[in-house]
Formats: sequence, structure tokens, C-alpha cells
Amino acid sequence: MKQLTNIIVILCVFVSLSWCRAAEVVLIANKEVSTNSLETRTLKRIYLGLHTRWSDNQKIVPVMLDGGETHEAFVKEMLNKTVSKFVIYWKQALFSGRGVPPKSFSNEKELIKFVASTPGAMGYISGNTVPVNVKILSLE
Amino acid sequence: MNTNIPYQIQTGYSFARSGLSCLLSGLLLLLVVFQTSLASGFGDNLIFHGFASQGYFYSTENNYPVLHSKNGNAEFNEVALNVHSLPTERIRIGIQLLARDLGDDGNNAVYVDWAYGDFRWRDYLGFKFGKVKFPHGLYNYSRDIDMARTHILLPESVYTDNWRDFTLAMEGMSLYGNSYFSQLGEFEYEFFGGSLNIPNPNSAYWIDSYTAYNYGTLSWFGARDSDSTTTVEYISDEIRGESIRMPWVYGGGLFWNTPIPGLKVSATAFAGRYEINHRGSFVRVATPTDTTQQRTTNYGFLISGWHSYYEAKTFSAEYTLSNLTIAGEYSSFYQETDNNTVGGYYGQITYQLNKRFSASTYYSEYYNNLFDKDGSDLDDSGLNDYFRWQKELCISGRCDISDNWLFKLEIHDINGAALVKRIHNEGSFENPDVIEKDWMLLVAKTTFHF
Repeated sequence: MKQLTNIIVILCVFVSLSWCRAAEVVLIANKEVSTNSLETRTLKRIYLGLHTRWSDNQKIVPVMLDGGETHEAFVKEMLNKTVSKFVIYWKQALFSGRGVPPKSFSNEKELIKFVASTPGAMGYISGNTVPVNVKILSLE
Repeated sequence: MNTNIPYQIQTGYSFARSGLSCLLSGLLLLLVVFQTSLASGFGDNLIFHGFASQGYFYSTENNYPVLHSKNGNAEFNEVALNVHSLPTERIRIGIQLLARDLGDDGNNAVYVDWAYGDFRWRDYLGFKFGKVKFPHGLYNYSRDIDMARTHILLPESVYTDNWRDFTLAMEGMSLYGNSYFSQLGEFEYEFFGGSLNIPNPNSAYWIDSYTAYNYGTLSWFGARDSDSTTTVEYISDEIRGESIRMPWVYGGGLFWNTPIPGLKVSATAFAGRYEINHRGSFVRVATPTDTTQQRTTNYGFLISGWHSYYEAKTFSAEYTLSNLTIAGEYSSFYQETDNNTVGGYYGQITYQLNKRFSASTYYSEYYNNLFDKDGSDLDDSGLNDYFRWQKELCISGRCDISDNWLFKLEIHDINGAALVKRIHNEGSFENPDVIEKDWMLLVAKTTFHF
């Protein structure tokens, strides 16, 4: 019985550690963007280059991170794709002339700065990062 | 008759070819080395990308898809460089230069793979003008993009290299767009019209076609001119294509991302016309039946041409569940000139093991006459029945060594020889048994991309 309890405790610790490690992702947008929330489906279509206009017909400028936990969590949980499939999707578009992937940044600070200064821009950051001069979008 | 039908690949622009190819390779190398500084140096509105790949073929029994593959052949590479520009928020322009080598084909001549101006008025309606890739099945857009898939060779039943010239890109206009309906899912479409430009009328496929055509014609002449006192043979000496024109082509594709998550189905079709002219020199050999002394005459040129309407239809389905992708496609290609329909189908499973490794397998069946799958109609031509089909089981592995470098290896277990070119297998025009029924193909390839 004691062994079983130990196993359960270890499992709980492992699960809680995993939970802590899973990056929380926050969607951000330029303050002038008319939308405050997005459907998951719309978010996916924006990052696949299929949905290109906000509701007021302003051009959507999606941006992303080069890599890292936040990027992986965003692609997997919000776009419902593996990172490999997301990369392949844009390689296909790029080399067949059908589209250009979203601009990417190596760190969140640069990404936030770009979103804050670019009309229609949106992106994502880690929940631990403080967004400055941008608005937060909720996901429906 | 002569056991070898000689042929000659005409280039005509070898200096420009090699020079431009070197220039493209050099530019690509520079861009790979300096991509970081370029990205910042050219600003946000000019975007460069490229790739370079090198492959290797080794086959048993038959040379395929290139000459001398039974001894191993590394004439298999691609180099591409593209640039996109976004001058306004609705307009995109771009161009991709590509050089490839596949045995006698391509020979690293640089050509414009695609080049267009794209005006996207709304998500549901955009226009492209220029040289534009067009839809044919699920993967024609990414046909030359090695990093877009796990296997090296696309299934030949739907993406046979024989059709490459018909399916690459057309010069004209296309309309495209997408719409999302909450209950029905998402629809993407593209419709196009224009003409096709065949860069080289002397690729292996076309030379094989001319040779087979001339062989049949000359055999007929020989039989006609022979009599009880003299046997006459006409022997082909040199064959080359003069021109191939495809004055018009049109078609379209509809892609439906169904409400079932991960399930995509599509239908694509196109039709067009081609006009071919080729010429071949030949000699006349007359042998009196009462002596062994032959009389050979240089007989001049046989100039031949034909034209045909053609149409292709492809139906596809792809299901993705996390790391697993299952796909299947059926395609048919009809040519009016010989009232023949070629085509086939395949099923494919791909699994992404982790960030670096993926594995894929497919089974493909191709027929060069969909209404004579068992090859029974080939008896009259003297060919074995297995020249009618090509059935392949392919197993592939891919390793992404880094984010910009990958390596692939695959093996094909093949039954049939419908796609084996007789010009690649010496003596096979006279003795089809030279080409074997059961054989294997090993392919390796590495690609750098940025």
C-alpha cells in the first residue's frame, strides 16, 4: 500500500511538473485592431494564410516566434498542428509561389515591439511575459 | 535488325545552361551563408528562399529512372532560388529559378519555374498572372519540393515523371480563393487557363516516344518494301525533337477541408492540346535473298508529327490525425490521338516519429492502359504483359539533421515495367525480355534549404 502511495505521489509530482512546464500562450494584437476575441478556427486560418482581413477590412499581419516552448505550444494547442507539419505547410506554399509565411522573431521583446508599432499586427507571447503597448486577444 | 536504336539528346544551349546553372548555384551558396544579414539588409518587402539537393539511384535488373542506374547514378539534383516581394498589402510578386538534373533530362539548365503577379482582392477571390503552378492532385504544387514530404519520389501512378511537362506550370491566369462555412468546413479553389511551354522537346520521355513511333513506322516500311527476292530494313540513325507546343490548357481544382477534423478531399482536372514535331535520319538496307551482300543507302529524314487533345482527372483524400497522415489518390490521363487512358492509384501512410524522424510507405499501381490492366492487348505488339503495369511498394525514412538540412532513404519493390524507358535499356526494342518484370530501386537524397 505504501509503495502504491509513493507511486501516486511521484506521478502527481510528475504531472504537476509537466503542467508547470507547459507554456501558457497569450495572444496579442496592435491596439488599433478592432477585434478583441478570435475563434480557434479563425486563428488557425490566419496563421495558414487563408484569412487575411480583420472585421473592419484592415490587413491582418500575423507574426510568430522562430521556435521555443511558446511557439511549440502555440502551434500544437492553438493551431492543432505539429510544428513539423506547420513548417512543411509553409515550405510548400513558399516554394510553389502560393504564399509567404508569417514574419518570425527570435525573441518576444522584438515581437511585441513589432506588433505595437504595426497596424493590423497580431502575435503570441508566453504568459510570463508582460505585454507592453499591445492589446490581449481572447480565444473563444 | 540493329539491336540499338541510337538517339541523340540535342541541347542547343549548353553554354548558357552551364553558365546560368553555376551562377544560380553560386547565388544560392552566398544566400545560405549570408542569409541572416540578407534578411535584415533587404528589408521586409524582399524575401529570399532556396534549396539545393543531391540524390542517388541504384536499381537491380532494369535501368530506371535514369540510364546506368544498375551501376548507380548520381545524376539527380535540384537547385532553386526564389524571391517574393509584397509591394502593397494586396499585391504579391515573385519568381523562382530552378535547375534540375535527372539523367538525360534537365542537365541543370536554369529555367523560370514560376513567376507571377498576385492580386488578392478578398480571401474568396484573387488573381494570378504569369507562369503559375496549377493544381493536379494534392501534391503537384510541391512536386519539386523535397522537404515537403517524407518520401523522395512521389507515387508514379499519379505523379509520373512522364506527365511532368503537362503538369508543371502554365503561362496565363488563374483565379483562386477560399471560403469557410461553419457547418460545411472550408473550400479552396483554383481555376486557370493559358498555354504551356515545353522547355526541352528532347527529354528522355519524348525521345522514348519518338523512338517507339519511328521504330513502328520503319518496321512497317521495311515489310512493305520487302518481296520474295529482297529483304528491306530501314534502320533509325538519329532521332530528335523539333518542337512541342501546347497552345492552350485550362482546368481547376476544388479542395474541401471537411467538418471532420483532419479530413481533406479534392478533385482536380485539366485539359489541353499538344502539337509535336520530330525528325530522324535513317538508312535503307536491302539484302537480296540469294546472297548475303547487303546494299546500304543513306535514305534521309523521316519527319513526323502528331497532335492530340488530352485531359486529366484526379480525385484525392487525405486524413491527418496528429503525427499520422493517410492519403490516397486516383488519377487518369486520356489522350485522344490513340484513344488511350493511362493512370492509376495509390495509398500512403506517413508517421512523424519525432521532430527529426519520419517514416512513410505507399503502394502504387500505374497502368498505361486502364482498360487493359492485365496486358492481354500487348500480345500483338510482341511485348510482355508486364509492360502494361508498374506496381510499387515503397518504404521511406527521413531524418532532419538540422532545421535546414535533411537526408532521406527509400526502397521500392517493383513489379512490372510500364514506366521503364526502353532507350535506357540496351537492346530492349528488339528483345523486350531485356527488361525484367521484378526488380528493385534504392534512392537516397539530401537537401539543404532556407
